[in-house]
Amino acid sequence: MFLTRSEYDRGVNTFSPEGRLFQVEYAIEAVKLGSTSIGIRTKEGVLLAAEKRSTSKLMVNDAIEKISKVDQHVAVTFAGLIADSRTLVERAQIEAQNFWFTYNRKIRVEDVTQSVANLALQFGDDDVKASMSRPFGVAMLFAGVDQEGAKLFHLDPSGTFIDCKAKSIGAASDGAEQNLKEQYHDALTLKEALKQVMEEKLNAANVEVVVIKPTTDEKGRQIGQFERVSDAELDQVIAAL
Amino acid sequence: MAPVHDELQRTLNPTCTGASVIAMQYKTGVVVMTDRVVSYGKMARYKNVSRQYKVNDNVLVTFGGDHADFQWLQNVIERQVLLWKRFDQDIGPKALHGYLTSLLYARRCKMNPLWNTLVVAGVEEEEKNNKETSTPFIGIITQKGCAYQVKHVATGLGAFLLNQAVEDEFRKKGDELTRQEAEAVLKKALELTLYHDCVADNDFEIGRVDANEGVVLGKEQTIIGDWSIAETNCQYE
Amino acid sequence: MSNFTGITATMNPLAEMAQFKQNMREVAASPEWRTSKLIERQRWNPYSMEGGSTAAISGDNFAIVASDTRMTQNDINILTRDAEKIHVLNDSIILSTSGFYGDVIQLRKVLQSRLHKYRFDYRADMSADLCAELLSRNLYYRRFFPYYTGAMLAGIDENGKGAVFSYDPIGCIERLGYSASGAAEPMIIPFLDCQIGHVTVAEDYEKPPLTIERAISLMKDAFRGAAEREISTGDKIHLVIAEAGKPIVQKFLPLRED
Repeated sequence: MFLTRSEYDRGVNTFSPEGRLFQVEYAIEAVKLGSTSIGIRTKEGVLLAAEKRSTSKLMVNDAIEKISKVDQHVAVTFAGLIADSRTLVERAQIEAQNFWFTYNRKIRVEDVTQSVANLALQFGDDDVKASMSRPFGVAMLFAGVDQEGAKLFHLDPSGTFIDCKAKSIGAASDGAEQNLKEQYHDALTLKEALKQVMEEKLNAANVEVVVIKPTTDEKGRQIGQFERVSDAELDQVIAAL
Repeated sequence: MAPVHDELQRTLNPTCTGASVIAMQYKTGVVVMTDRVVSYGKMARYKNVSRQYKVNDNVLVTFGGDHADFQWLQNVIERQVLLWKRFDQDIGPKALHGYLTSLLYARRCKMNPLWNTLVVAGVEEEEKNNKETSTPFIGIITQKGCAYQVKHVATGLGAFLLNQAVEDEFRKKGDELTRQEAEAVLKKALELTLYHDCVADNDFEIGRVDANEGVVLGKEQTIIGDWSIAETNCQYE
Repeated sequence: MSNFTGITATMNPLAEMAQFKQNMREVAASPEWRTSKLIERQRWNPYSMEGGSTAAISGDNFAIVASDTRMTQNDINILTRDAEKIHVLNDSIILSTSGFYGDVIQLRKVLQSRLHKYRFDYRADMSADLCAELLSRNLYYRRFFPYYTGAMLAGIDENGKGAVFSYDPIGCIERLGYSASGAAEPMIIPFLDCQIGHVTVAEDYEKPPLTIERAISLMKDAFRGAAEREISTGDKIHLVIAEAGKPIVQKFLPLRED
């Protein structure tokens, strides 16, 4: 069959003559349609915040979960096709539990991100093995504290993951990231980070916040503790602005 | 539904068996001796049967234990050799020893063992086509997948009777042993088994794997031994 | 019950009764416990014991492992005098084994491949702590067809301290200061209890600190003692010494051969 120049986006594994994988790039575009999420790494731990866009007042707002717990010490937030993220989050959870079961140790944040990145690239249009037929349309932020300290990783649909100090994904990511670039400094505290996040026009109803704080396990090793920031605490921060 | 007697489809008792294998390293190779009889219980059921199998120019496999299982193994080994041939390689004794170890261990884990003690003898080529670097190799695998390497060995009843005698002889010269000396030790060892092991036979062969000559299968030989002791040791009239 | 079709509701009650009686007669004539499949047989034993002993001592910044190198058959016949019972898995992990050598080979292969894969997955060598847990899981995985091995794992842990982990064949794990396994275990353990644990000496008895030199000489004594009294232990001592920040050293020392 004759392929015209514009048809290089048909096959998910077909490069265009310019060397681009269009389906992967479209997947990255899909991320920009999603609601915004922010991750900030500080000395006191890592913070994840996700905007909850309820499209209708008939929707139950509390039922939306934009930040998932992977393990005691790792949280993940995502932007893009939420249904796709379920598969990836489940992989992260399984990988974390599997590591803990085998080695009696909490997995490193980088390794859990790596394993999800491996899955993110396992797409293809062949029938040989049962796998995803297209790239996953989500970007993710993995936040956690392991033996090496606070960690924040950004994973995009191409399977690339990058170690970040602060990062934003989703619709308003460009603006938010500009803000982060201006405001971020190495001595940032969690409280300041939270304020930073809430400066956008947010309230307790349309934002979800998780912090992972460093703590020690029974053997004295550094590990993180997943904590959801309650509505009351969020209201306090907003009131103080 | 008819009960499945799967015990009957496994070798949980050997049927026709070969007895001792005795092998020894010398300076440039390995000599292996087996007798040429396969017994059914205590009866010498099949005579003039070789228990040595030439795998290729570098490897000779010898067995003790169930003959049927070994004939099946010969087929498996040949397939492995052909697989290596497809990649233009000759399987070496170390590799074959490792392969057979895994095979025998896997079968014991299925509670369906191969009833053999295998002696893999050969020369391991460290460098292709450089005989100078070749080293003699003797590897043993028991029925349950317990594997080890030695410089001299006697299996079967010979393990109890001869191991020490063979070791003493080996230690006199060590790695400097010549082929003739090694063969003389093996013949003496066979004579000793003949006196004590009722299923051992005086009809035997000595195969060898030499770095320079490759595998040379032995010719049939016989030994009479000294039976003068029978005059004084008979319980019958 | 081969005639049972499952459509009992439509059956004639009399025919059903007749069928039932027929089945009862069949069962009474040849009860299941008398059929051959249930007759107790002499089962083939998939295990054999190759004898030998191993011991390990951990100190503040070192761990030493020793074993003899004898492999026996039925405890009386020497198969080889150069058996390898201590396996150096990487720069900080030493596995020592006794028991059934077929399982030892398999266990070593499993661990080596897991360590190899770990390097790819996590871009680092596995530490002794992690390998210790991994070994425990692997042993327990075969809970109902165990690896018949008295395994011990020793090395330098993540904090640079000497570590010895002791296992039972089905994966119970314990971190100890010193341990022994194999045929001479009942002789070596009390000796180490006395000399290192100081549990069987008087209050005012001299209790020297455990230096690496002392640990090595105690290990030699332990094996010389064991070789005197235990028939499947002998030939050579294989001594493996791991010291924090130094490469692992291996030594062979002669032992009695009778």
